Amino acid sequence: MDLKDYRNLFAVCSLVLSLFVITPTLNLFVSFNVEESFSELSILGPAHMAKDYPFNVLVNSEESLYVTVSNHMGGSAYYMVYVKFRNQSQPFPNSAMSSLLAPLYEFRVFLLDGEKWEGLVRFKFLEVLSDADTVLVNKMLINNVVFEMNSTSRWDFEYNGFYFQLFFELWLYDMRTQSFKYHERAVGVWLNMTV
Amino acid sequence: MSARKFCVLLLVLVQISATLSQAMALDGDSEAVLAISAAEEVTASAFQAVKEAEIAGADISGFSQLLTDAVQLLAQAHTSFRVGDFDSAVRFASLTSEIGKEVEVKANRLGELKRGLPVTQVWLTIVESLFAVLAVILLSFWGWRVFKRLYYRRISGTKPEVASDGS
Repeated sequence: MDLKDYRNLFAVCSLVLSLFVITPTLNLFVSFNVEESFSELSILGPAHMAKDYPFNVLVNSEESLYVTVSNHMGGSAYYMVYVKFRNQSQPFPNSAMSSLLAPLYEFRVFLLDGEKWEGLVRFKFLEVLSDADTVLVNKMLINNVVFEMNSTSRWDFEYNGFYFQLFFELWLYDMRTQSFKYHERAVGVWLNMTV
Repeated sequence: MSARKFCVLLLVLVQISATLSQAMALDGDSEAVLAISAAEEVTASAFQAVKEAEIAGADISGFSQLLTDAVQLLAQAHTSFRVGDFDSAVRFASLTSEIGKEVEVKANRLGELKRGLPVTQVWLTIVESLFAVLAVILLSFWGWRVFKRLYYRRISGTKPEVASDGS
């Protein structure tokens, strides 16, 4: 290496060092945050694990599960989780649209960036009527609140049972519109009411 | 009073009582609607104040639990309303409003405190960076001169001396 090469090396090192010390000022005007922002919605079984979800349910027998929400939005966020109930013929929410069914129960939670929240959902079917090929759910208890409903399920010949689904939709508060917007996330558990 | 008149009077009374009870039920309903709507507004303002404080660079972790309490009560108010328990809905909504207002005031205060700082903070950062860059440039020049001197000394040290032999 001759003197010219050393000179170039010195210039490069000085430039790098200058950029390094000027970073706090650059940060004031330019954002270098390129992290992807997202939220998580999931359900866990009674033992806080992704197993032993309630499936075969009986009238007046209490079941439980946990719904969890994680915030990775890069800032604090205000969430709402709707608890809904449907039969096999009613559509599950898709990525663009929430279910049109009215919510039964709801959770709301404020989470800081990186925070996770877990909510217990205890539910019980209080009044269920059945005949040969139909089951009608009239009353349900979720976290000690009684809900009157009228949901019917027909016998599923493929899977041999009367199926309903308890599902959860995640909504995010939008500061611009000052209202909740469906956050395109939904999860649910199938329940077999064959008694 | 004839039996006919009595029946008409009874019917009128029944009608009046039905209308009154309906009106009273509507009152409970509308009171709950108003309380929930007020709580919604307070919560939204509180959340906005917290977000603004966060954007201003304030540590908002202290508000997390308080705001969660408020929004959870609001959720309970909505659920109670849905099942027709208007008294509970009003109670939960009022509690939400109380906590929400407290959060909003505190977050606004913290946000203002933080927003007051940036002008000084920004200038301080810019001046610090400029001084740091100047120091890097000066040190580089000084370092380069020292290095060059050492380099020439090393080069001249390795040069073969030309022997002057007179004989």
